[in-house]
Amino acid sequence: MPRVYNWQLGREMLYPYQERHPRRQFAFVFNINRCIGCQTCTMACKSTWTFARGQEYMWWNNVESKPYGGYPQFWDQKLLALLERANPGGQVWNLRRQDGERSPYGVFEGKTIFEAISEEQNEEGETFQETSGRVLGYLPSDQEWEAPNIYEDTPRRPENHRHLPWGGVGESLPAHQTWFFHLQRICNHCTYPGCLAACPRQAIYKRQEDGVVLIDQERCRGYRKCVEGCPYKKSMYRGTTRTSEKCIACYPRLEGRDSVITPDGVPIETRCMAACVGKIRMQGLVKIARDGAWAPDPENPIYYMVKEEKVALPLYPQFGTEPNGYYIPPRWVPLDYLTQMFGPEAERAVEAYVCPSRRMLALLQLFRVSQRIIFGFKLVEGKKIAESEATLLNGKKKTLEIFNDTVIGYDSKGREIVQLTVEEPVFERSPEHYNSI
Amino acid sequence: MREQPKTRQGREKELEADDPLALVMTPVSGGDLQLMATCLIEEFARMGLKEAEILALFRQPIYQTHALYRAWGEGRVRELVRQVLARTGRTCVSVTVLPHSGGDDA
Repeated sequence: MPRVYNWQLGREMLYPYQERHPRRQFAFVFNINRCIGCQTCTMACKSTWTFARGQEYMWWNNVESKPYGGYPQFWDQKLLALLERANPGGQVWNLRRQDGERSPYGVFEGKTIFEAISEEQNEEGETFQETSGRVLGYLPSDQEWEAPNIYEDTPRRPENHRHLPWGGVGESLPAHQTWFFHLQRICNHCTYPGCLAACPRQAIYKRQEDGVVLIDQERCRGYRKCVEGCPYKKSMYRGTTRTSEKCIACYPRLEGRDSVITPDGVPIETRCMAACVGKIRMQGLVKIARDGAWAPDPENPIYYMVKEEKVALPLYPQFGTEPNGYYIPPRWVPLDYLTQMFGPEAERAVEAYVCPSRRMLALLQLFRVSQRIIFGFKLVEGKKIAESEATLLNGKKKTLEIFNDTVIGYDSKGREIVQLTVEEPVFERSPEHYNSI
Repeated sequence: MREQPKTRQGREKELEADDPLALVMTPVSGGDLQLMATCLIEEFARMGLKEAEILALFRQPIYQTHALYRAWGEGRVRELVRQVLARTGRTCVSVTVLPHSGGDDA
């Protein structure tokens, strides 16, 4: 099997195909801290791409509430368990081998979904019958796809909503009394896609111009190996056409070909990004060098957050697909959980977010100010206007300086799209000091 | 009256990994609800939301923050919102979006 370089793992790994890279890569950053789980993104995608017969259970974009939720149910716990079974106790990171751009998160010394499959038997002599043969994975049951947010909601009907038909059953169920956060998920358009590796028909390909991963509906015969092989379970089977389908990164918008919404032909963000009410999403296209590394481009917001500030991290990098979706981890979640989900740099990323640099704070204001993709940003410094406090992971407080800075966003043609100015923070008096001078 | 056999009920039972629903409603160790609520309020404040707007997000039953509202009651949530806002303030930004050379954002 060929060996390819995965910078998220900090090492070479086995992959069924030779290493080849697109010129640019579709990538995105989701700020988990600000998601309210309103599902507007989910419905924007659903109403655009998966509203037809046979797509009833198909949600290319979904938002699940962790630690309980999952679509399909328990997808990540099942994958982690499979990997642990294949390599008991060995799924570890070596932080001593951190080395700049080549291994920014250290070196993953465990097995990826491509490497674990080569272990045909585990220590108990069990074989992985459920795998496709190229990728360690599993095929979720129909039941696991049916209810995207089951068990996640507050189970009791609120007192002032007695007119609602639901809530009569389950009213006495206990509500979750624990921490949670919303995890937004779309296809990661991975550098080394599990779906592509698993397809016996070579019906899945990665576009040269933007790295978007697509299923050729003519070649696909619905064997569902991609559904098994995608560790994030973002390839889905459609019974009416007997083919598999997946997120297409709204490529007509990405190409700037819709003359109604982009009359001057500049790339536009996907439907799920553009619809985000909570302003948690930013999407971009990053330049890829010949060796697969991200070409230095510190003016690009995605590059800046992932490579310079390292405030956004990939989801389950240990799976080995080099996903191109990045997340700013939630700042209140136990560190063990975050480390398992986002890798060993989770704590540092949270700190970089809670007390951001001046440039990062300005960039955070650019989330969702325009549906045109921001290819570059610039900071015009202003004077310091206030100090604020931020709460760290351990509950301690840290002072945050606020500057009256202006941040400017530019489109693919280098033209200015938007300007934002941070204004003086408004402090509200606590009740006990209402009348004090 | 006959004595009932002593069996462990509901949440007293220990987690069994082969139970297909074991991960549902199983407490996850660690974490701090007060810290979570504080961080969420700080986030909304950084986005410029006012006290009433933040409180509305806790009141709405469709959002998961409502679980805290139900558990703590309006008084405690309101007090926490006020405390955090008094400490952090609200960051406000002014935005100027330039139109496409051919139309506005659709």
